Amino acid sequence: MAKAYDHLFKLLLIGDSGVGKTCLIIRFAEDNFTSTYISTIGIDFKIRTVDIDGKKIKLQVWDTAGQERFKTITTAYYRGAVGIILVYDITDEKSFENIQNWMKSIKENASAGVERLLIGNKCDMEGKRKVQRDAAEKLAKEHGIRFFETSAKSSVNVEEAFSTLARDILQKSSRKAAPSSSKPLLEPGPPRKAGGKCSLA
Amino acid sequence: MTPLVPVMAVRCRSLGVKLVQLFPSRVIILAFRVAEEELGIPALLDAEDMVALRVPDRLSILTYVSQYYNYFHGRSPIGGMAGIKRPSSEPQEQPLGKKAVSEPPKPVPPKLPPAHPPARAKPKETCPVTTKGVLAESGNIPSSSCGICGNHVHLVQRYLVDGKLYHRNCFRCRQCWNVLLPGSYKAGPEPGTFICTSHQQPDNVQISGLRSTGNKPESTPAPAAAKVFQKAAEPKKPEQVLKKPSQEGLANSTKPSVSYSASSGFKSVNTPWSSSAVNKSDDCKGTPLGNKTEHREGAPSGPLWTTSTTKTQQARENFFRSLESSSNKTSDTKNQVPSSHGPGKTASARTTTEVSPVNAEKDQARNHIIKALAGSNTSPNRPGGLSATGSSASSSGKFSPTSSQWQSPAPKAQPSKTAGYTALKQEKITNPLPKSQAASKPLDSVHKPESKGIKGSVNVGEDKSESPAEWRSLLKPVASKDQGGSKKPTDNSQVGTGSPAHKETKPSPLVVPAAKQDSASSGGYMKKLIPSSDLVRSCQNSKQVWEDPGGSAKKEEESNQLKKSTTTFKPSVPKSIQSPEAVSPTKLHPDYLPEEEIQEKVCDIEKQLDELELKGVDLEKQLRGCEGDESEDALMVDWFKLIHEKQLLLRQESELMYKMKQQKLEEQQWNIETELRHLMSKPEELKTPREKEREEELLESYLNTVNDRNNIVECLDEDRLREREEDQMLADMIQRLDGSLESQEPEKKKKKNKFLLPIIRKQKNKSKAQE
Repeated sequence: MAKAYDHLFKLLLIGDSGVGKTCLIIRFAEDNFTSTYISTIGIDFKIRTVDIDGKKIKLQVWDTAGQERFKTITTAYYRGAVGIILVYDITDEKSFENIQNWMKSIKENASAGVERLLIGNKCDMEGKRKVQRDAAEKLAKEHGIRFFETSAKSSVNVEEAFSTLARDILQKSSRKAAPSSSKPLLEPGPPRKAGGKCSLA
Repeated sequence: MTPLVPVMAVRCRSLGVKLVQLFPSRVIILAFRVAEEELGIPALLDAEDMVALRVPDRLSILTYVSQYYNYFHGRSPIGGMAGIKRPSSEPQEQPLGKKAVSEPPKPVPPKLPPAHPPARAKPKETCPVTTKGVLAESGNIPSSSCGICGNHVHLVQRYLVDGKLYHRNCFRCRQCWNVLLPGSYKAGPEPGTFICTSHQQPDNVQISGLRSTGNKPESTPAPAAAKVFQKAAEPKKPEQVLKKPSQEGLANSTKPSVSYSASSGFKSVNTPWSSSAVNKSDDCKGTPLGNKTEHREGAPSGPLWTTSTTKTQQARENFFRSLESSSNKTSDTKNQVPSSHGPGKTASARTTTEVSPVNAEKDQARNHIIKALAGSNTSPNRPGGLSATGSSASSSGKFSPTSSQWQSPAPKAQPSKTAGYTALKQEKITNPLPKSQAASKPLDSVHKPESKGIKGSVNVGEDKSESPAEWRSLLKPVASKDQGGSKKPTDNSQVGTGSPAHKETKPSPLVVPAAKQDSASSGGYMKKLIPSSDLVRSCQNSKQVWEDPGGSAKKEEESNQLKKSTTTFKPSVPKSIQSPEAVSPTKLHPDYLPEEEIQEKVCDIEKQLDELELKGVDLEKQLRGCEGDESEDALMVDWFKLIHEKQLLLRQESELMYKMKQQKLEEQQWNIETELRHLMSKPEELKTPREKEREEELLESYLNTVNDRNNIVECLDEDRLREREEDQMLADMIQRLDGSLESQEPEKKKKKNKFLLPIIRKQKNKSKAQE
């Protein structure tokens, strides 16, 4: 049934144009991939329900357009998200440098306690890598967020990234609901290495 | 929670001013007025009643008090804000009608012990003391008689509009005889009559300015309602009933459109559309259910839970209305000023509110009442919650009312409803198209096939056996060769026969890409194309899960690529921008439910609801008859169980309607995107001003569509939360009753302790089996 879930989380993907936000979402929601680059118009979303710790979590993942012309449209959707994923392209250092700007954008437009996640996409293109994992991990640690290197094309770490974010949000919300819970208040996810090396299988 | 009035009375006494004793009615009136004006909780009880009755109607009080509970829990009260005015000229109808607008009282006031026989709301003419004799006589009071047929209205059938009471099934469109759903009707040509908002009237201004023409089929809550009404009115002649709306629908070639006026927060409730409801009364033939009510018992014992249902229904309806308005807006981007677009609900709210705020309020009011009267048991938290968020209350959360409304329409109504929705979507997208199509039918060809397909829900079943084979034979030519314009004539002929009509509803959205070209030809092969994908899918998938599974995208892309490679555009088509072979990914989704399937399921639910309604009527009579008896509580438990079953059915129905709407929106989004991308790909300097303008419009439409889809997601979530509360509420209530039973019959209690679980399980199994 359409209402057979326990929680609804709104996630948002932001990042430079062409880093692979739409591909990540399509991979996550529909397990599909297309090499053709089609720029996202304004905003869109896809839905997928996952199981996290025995709970059914319906994830409404919003896909924003990276192009500047849609900036005003997309920033309006920051507030509704409980989790925001910042995406950069490991073969494009500019996209990694702009992560700082995207972080600022989150501070300005998103809700206060929004859960964040950093993703370095296109890790299947190891030959064209321009951004080292260490640099990204360091950046993630500075902001106190998790980091994953993913590949929407080869379906590496996509599931893990989304599930981890969903779990963090779930745990945060259950902590809020039950402050007397035994779980200590944690920082928003310690940055850790992405599961395994990212390589084309 | 103690009722406000008693509290006030206590305070008055404590002040030494025995106002209550001296001027009881005045105090009560003041209390009601304050509640209505300040809290938006309409007076469900009549001051004179409360004073006159030595033992106030427990159920009525519980209902009224529960409104305060909802208010303070962020839900808008049943019946909305001061929208419900109790005209002094109709003191008799209002209180009883409002009493129907109730919900299951969460906390049973301790002052009202369960053992106390539930005092029924009595007509004013009766004595304060409740007696069976009094109840038996009270049936003929105006407040419990249908405004259309004049027969007594049972609790389950209550349908209150503008302070006037009708049978749910009596409230039908004057023109097409479809049952009118909240927000989907307007005043008819004659005073006291109503027609679907999609029907054109020379005299009346259309409520929703969004609707381009009255002939366009839009969401069909009204026709559905009308159909239900008709069905109920003539149970002995179901075929007639079923046929009539379809005939009328075909003749009119319009679907009542839900007047998706902005429902800005469930403020307004009953006022606006009741006028149209009144019109219907003349056409009421008298329902069999109404006929049963010769006992003339006017007590609203059921209303307790109806308020919550009302709210749900209203929320749903408002949602649909807002969706429709925004859809209308998006469709008529050429003709309308694009409303400023904002994220999520706000945009929709704005668009809808801009259009017809008054009607929205009225529709909301109507929805509230209708829901309550329909007796579905849904909690009323949506309006409050939505308003609180500040987002477009109109767009979100309105779903419930709408869907609950749909529960009243008979199967006939359902097809119209879906037809309405499909039509609306089509209208949005294919605005230029219908006009250009030279369909030989009176209707726009776009809508016509749809209406035929939808209206003939009865026919669908018959046609289904032959149509799949037909379509299959047609599919191959379509898929293999270019969609020639010749297809269209074939399609139209098929449309005329009404067999693949329902398939053509889907093709219509695809007509959008072809809108710029030879619409006739493009419409033709569009229609062909869609049936093929639909058939393939429906053949492969039986019941589909709604959630997006993996692999759908693959399917879409493959079939898109296949189509692109195999189909060539008809030469007559000037532009090949819109690849007609590109089927909307929505249809390729494994979870895609063809519209007719959805309609069938909704029809099925409607039938079940009608059966429940009959049971409810019987149960109500039993309850009335055994007032004060030991068996009363047991019957109350049965009553609540029945209400719960009805609720579950309504929920299923609303989910189906959500799904249908969602599918349409996805398709619409895809179509808009296709055209928009084409425009965007053009170099800026080569764009004509018109193209630039068009690009702006399309972008706005696109964003609105995305927001509408988001609204559905949010509505579903709100419904889910509210349903949880409702179930819990009902369970608690029944347990309380069981508690009182325990003292009487311990054995009975054991049996009833598991009251809700079997019902819930049964419903869930049913729905799972269906999916």
